[in-house]
Amino acid sequence: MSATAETIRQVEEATGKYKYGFVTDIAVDKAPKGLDEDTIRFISAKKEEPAWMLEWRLKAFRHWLKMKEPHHWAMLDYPPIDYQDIHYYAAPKQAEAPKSLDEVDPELLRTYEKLGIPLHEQEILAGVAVDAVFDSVSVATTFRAKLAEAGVIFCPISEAIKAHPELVKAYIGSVVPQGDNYFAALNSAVFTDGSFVYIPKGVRCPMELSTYFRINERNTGQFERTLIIAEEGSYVSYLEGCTAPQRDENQLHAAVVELVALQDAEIKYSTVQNWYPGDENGKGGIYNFVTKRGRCQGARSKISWTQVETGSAITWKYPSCILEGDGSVGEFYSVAVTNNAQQADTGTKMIHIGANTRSTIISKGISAGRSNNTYRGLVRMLGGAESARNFTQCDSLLVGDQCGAHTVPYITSRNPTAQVEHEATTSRISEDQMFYCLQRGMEVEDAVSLIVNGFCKEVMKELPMEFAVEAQKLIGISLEGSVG
Amino acid sequence: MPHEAINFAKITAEAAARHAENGWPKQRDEAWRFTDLNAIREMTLAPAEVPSVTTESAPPQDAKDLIQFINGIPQGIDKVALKGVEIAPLSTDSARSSALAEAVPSGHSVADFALAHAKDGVVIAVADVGADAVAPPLTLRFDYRGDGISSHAVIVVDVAAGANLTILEEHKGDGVGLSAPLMLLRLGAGAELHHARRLIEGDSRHHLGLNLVQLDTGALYHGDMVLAGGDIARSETQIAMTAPDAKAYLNAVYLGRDGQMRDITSRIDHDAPDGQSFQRVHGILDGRAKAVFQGKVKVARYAQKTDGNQMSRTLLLSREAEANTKPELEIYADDVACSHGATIGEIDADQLFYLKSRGISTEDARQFLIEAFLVDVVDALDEPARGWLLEAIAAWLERG
Repeated sequence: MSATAETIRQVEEATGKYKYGFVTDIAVDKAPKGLDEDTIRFISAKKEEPAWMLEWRLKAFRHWLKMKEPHHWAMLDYPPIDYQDIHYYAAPKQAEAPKSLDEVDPELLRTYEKLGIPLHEQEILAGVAVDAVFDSVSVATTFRAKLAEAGVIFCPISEAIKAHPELVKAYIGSVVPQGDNYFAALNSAVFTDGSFVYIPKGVRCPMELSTYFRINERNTGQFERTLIIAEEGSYVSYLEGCTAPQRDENQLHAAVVELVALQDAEIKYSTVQNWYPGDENGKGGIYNFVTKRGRCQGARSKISWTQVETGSAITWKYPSCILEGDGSVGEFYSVAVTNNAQQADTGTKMIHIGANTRSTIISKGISAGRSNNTYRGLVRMLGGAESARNFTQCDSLLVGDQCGAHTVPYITSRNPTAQVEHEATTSRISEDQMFYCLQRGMEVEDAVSLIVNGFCKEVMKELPMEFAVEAQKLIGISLEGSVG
Repeated sequence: MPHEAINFAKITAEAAARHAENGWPKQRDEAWRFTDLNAIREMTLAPAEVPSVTTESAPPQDAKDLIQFINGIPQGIDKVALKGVEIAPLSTDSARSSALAEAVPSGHSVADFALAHAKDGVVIAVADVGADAVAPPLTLRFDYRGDGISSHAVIVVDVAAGANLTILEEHKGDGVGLSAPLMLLRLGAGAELHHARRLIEGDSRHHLGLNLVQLDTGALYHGDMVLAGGDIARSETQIAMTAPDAKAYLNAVYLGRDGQMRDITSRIDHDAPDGQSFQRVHGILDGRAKAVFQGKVKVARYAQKTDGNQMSRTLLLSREAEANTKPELEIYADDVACSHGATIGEIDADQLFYLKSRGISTEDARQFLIEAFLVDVVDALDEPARGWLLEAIAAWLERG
């Protein structure tokens, strides 16, 4: 793309409304509103699930009924959610599963094009296999053949439940148990689909795996469930990106992601989250309550979370690592941008169990408008965490004087040989930095975008290249109208 | 709301009712998450009674700069003769009584407990006597005796605009009991208070102290503390900066061994511009000791140009000790410089090796490094508090 065209596009993006705010109209097969055991049986039947899966869901549901929505600790303020006013299942209507992209509803494909996910092109150009989730059912999975050659399983979890029940049964709920928390329990009961990844022993996944989640149908909560298992000595990089159409009602999203890394395995999980954040007054927008957790089960295994959070009205998300194997490594790199009336309460948990475990936490929070952005983290060194190390740095940047930036770290150590270091700062864009940019002819918004991207550099460099470019633009767009 | 004539008895009765309703804090209360009060909950406690004046309980005749508290009850407050300092019972001072009632944070069950059983309080009022007159420090000596007694000292310190005072506050004594001192410290414009405390009670005692500090324009509060005694010992400080340009420095050393619990809790509310707060907390834990430092700095929207800084370091000397840290920033103003840092670890093996390679014995080298660990805090102390607090640290280290 020429420089001029790029500029024009950026101007359009900067002046336009929410770029991805459109609704695709496709006939939808959906469950009636409300949640009871019958809803769960309906979902399970729709998915043609085996009996053990239904039992598992029902157990989660019964647990959920006994739980209370967590409202007291997170720095989030939102009206009560009516869990009976949500459709728990919506699937694009299709006669049968498509064999190739040609069989996919063209309307769907156009939606992806608008989102900038050219499936065909991605196949050829980016070498990225996309398991595109449109609302709840995975519609198209590409690169199956190439992955199958390497022995990698990458498919919708609904399919894995049928095709690889032994794997799913062994690992689902092993990292995030059904009753882990309110939203995880809800997800366990009603999850409709998500991704399943299995990397066999010693295999380096030949490409980066990517899933684009879309929330499309009005009033459909999205309950994704992702399970990634990396066998001994394997490696996988997984990309997750999110956009959603613009609309007025709040939408609930409660996803669960479970990662299991066995001995010497490495999982890199990257997220760009750009769901509709609501209008300037916070009307509409997605409620994003996500439970993401990885278990470094084997020695020297590694799990790395990288996230760029710019969307959603409410973000409640703490991607965590349980460092069980000796010498295992956990990483968390995060950029969270909030503007207007957005609220984010996000961070991580690093639980050091094994000896010589290491974790690094780098969190960059940027608050603008009237938003509130909280880092909430936990580092726990258990008795066996001999010579374990943690380093945490969380920096907050305030853009404007109507927003809030908060830091709430919890640090616990029960092993004297473990070392924990934590640093946090809060500041604003300095006048010197702004002056420097402006006197070189930059516009205020560009200057802010540049400075903020510099502030986030440590995290951005962890993102895969395709994501880094998108993420940089997103940060600029997210801060629109926050200055001047 | 106009100030009602409110009497001390009414305040204590109301606090008693609140404590009866709410009981002791539980660990599910965020502010008490790390400190288990079960041992205190299960105690049978009787509030301290006024001791009969014996030679033992009476303060020395010549002590003009000392208030002695026996089980929290002040003795011979009329003997204090410091220039500019007036001491009076709180119960006869309805303005200050109501100020105290207003200052107690709502739902603070320990504060309610302290107030509930207080027989009376003490007012320490300090006037501005000119810059040239350096007043000697006022010593508050808390002596605890007997078993099954809870002590409830309630003190209001008023430092008038431009005035300054140094307080040396000591808590010591034996027996099985609980001390719950409650202090309201109000500093007028440009006033200064140096408040040094050493908490060195016996091993079977528990201590739950609360200091409420209110700072007017340009006021300076300097709180230095060594928390080295008691079984469960918590020192909580809440500072409200409601006027511009106020400053607070908190330096604390906590020392714990065996199964002791150490809890340093602070909350600083920057509610006006140009405020500064610096907190430095260093702890050493041995045996099965457990500790928490939880410090919250809240900067309100209009408190621009605030400087807020917290540093917490913990040294673990044993395999069973547990350190917890929760430094918290809640910031609503953009033109601020706020930061916190926290570390937890053991004696640095390289440093130990360096000293040993120069012929110093392992034990001496360890001792040297333990003392060196406290240097940052100790260096920040001023005399007379410095030497006085160092004594308490040295005594603890020797006992180890």
